[in-house]
Amino acid sequence: MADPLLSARDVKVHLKAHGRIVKAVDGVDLDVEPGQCVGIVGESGSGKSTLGRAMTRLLPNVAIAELSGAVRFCGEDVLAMAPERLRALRRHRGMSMVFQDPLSYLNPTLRIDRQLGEALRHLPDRQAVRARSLELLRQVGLDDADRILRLYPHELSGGMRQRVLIAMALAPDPQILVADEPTTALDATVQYQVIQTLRRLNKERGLAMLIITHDLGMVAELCDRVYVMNGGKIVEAADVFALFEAPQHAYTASLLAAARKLHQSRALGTGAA
Amino acid sequence: MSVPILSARGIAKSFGGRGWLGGGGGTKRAVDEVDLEVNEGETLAIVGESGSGKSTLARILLGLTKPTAGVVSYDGRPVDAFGAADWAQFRKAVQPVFQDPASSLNPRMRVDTTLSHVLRHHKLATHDTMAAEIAGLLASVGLDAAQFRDRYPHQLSGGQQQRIAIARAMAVRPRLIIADEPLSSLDMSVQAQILDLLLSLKASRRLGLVLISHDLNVVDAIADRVIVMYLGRIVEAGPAQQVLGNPASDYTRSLLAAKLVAEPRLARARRTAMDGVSAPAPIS
Amino acid sequence: MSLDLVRRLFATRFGGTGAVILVAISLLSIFAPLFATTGPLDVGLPSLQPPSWAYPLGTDSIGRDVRSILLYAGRSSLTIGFSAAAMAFLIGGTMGALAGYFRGPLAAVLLRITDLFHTLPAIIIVLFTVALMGASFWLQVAAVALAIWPIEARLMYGQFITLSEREFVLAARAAGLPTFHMIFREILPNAVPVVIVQVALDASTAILIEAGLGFLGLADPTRPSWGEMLNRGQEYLDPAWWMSVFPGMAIAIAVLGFNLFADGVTEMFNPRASANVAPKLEG
Repeated sequence: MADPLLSARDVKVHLKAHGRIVKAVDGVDLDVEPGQCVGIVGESGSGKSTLGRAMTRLLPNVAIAELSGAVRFCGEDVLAMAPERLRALRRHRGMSMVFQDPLSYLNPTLRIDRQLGEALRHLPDRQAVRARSLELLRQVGLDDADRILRLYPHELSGGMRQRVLIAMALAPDPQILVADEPTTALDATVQYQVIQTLRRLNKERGLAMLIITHDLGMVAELCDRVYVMNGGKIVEAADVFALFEAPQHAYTASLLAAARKLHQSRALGTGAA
Repeated sequence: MSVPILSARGIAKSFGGRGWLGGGGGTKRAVDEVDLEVNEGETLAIVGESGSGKSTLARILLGLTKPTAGVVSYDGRPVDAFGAADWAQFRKAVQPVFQDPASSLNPRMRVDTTLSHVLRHHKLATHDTMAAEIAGLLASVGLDAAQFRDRYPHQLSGGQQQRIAIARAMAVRPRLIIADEPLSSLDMSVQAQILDLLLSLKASRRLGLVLISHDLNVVDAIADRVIVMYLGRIVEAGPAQQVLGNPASDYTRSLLAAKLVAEPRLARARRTAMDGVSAPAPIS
Repeated sequence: MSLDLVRRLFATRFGGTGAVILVAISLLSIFAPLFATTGPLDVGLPSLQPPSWAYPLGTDSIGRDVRSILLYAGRSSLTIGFSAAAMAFLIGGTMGALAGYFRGPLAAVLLRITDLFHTLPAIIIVLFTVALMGASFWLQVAAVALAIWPIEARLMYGQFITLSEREFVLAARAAGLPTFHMIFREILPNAVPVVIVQVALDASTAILIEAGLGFLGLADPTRPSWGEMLNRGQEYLDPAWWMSVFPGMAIAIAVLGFNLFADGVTEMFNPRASANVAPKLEG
């Protein structure tokens, strides 16, 4: 197996909240191999989002009491990285991030072409930017790319917005996409489209992914390897099939039981037939 | 069967149109031509995605919003003709549970105050029996009174908040609960607990339930009958078995197809079969 | 205010400072006789003396101790600040709450009245009232309140509209709880924290309006106020700067106090507005 693309070793993120120290992430090891889709599953307060933000250096600085351990991306230490290097990585062949609420990450006053253009400033001229924008939108399954480029964010549906954001995340041609609850705010049918989009990017283009979610259904659809997080620690890490078939940790088993209770279905598979 | 607890005939609701600023955009129909009924002890699920008008419908059924057209009847009598005494009876019989537990409880009221206001107003407890009544209610939703009665909402987890919201709804010993996405902002393990709670209340009290949800898994677990809504209209209605097992409309089929399955092998087998078939977007 | 609220206020960046300033100037004014050497209207000292050990803030043109007048004048200025703001809160709050709760035609009428007052500049309303009815002290307070209440009405209206749609309010309505309960137990307690900020800001506006009136010579001549002191001082700006500078500073400090206090309350109830706050912990 090759070296991991992105790895965490004994990462701790302790935050200050209301005068107390919260050990949001408390000694986590994690690896994402090239081309792999890795899931971090946990419930609210498990520290999964904080871990995702720590690994992409997107934590707010003010509230951190302790940040230690090593995060390596292509062998480089992310936590110690100089701001210029970090910016360079975000602009080209680095890590991109997609968040839960697409609307708050889009500028409401700019058309989509301008916002995508921002992420494509390295391209030589307007024709190149436009061509690449169209290509990116089609990659995320927005076939009507011409029209979408001319629209404002509020004119798009939730699923289209999220896919535009994924397109923007793909603009710097990243080696890994970190997605934090990318479908939580979306309707079921739209969620399914976004998941399909992510899966295609992973399987067909070999884009590595780190998916942060509370939804075991999404993990079952997408991920190759799963880390289960609870109370700031990884309680179990396993191949996705092994995890669902033979959970080793009681917490994982309880999550699975809850998910199966909610996903039990007499109509299973009918829709696909 | 006897007269339904709650029924709706030809319900429509439009928004906008006659605002102070003239409202150039015209009216928007949130709900259009909806008929439904719920019987004693029955669970009716209303399924739909955002924009389907299901939350507006919930408020109309609760008597919190007046429909633009159509009639809601309680025990066979139209609520339009209700006097104060009828409304008091209605308020004791039909209770809501909302989606966002954080917003469902008054942030400046302790748990026991929230419950005691309701109990006192409906004369369901006196000063002497209040403490015992509250303890009983909290116990019925699986919470220990000694531990929780003095808490403020921000001192509770999401699941605990939703339990209190259910306890408040149960305080008046209702015949019908209208729950608008009661699980969707909770963690999965908590969802399973609240679902269990609803199922047990339903079984032990012959409680009618209107469950409004986008989550077919939840609907499947609890509903007797299902109504599928799309852009304010009913596209399909019938027994749960039939609607979920053998859907008649394309929209219901696409909802079922989009349902996630928490089993990796099944999920993958299913989606290979579906490759190239994309679920139609619900946006017109 | 409970002890817990005080502690939370002092945990904000400026709230504690604002509260200390307000309490300090209020105490100095209330207990003016303890700190003043002469009564506010006592004359007979040497006139136009610069600040010295005997007269720390100097004496004025008719031989009064500036420090002593300043302390007594604080009573008028602060009373105007507090009472005008309280009155504006009562009028505006009631109008806004009624309009927001009952909606419909009543709301339309109340909001039009509010807008009418809102469009008139505050100082015009005050000047007009004082010119018409005379410069008695409480009339002045009422005039200032009349000028500032529309902001409170708008704010309270907005809060009532927003809170009415919140799920806990809907739940209380669905439980059939009476109107009194809905307004005073469910909505108002959640609206007041937002509105109280405006009340503090209005108090500082009221003090400034009073200063403006005093400066124009329209203050109640029988009660010294900081604005009225400014008016007297302007004639003697060159020979006796201390007659204007100290009341000017007093006004600035009081306004600063109210504004810092308002900032603190905002931060206390809306932690996101502050910079040194922990992020929400999610997943």
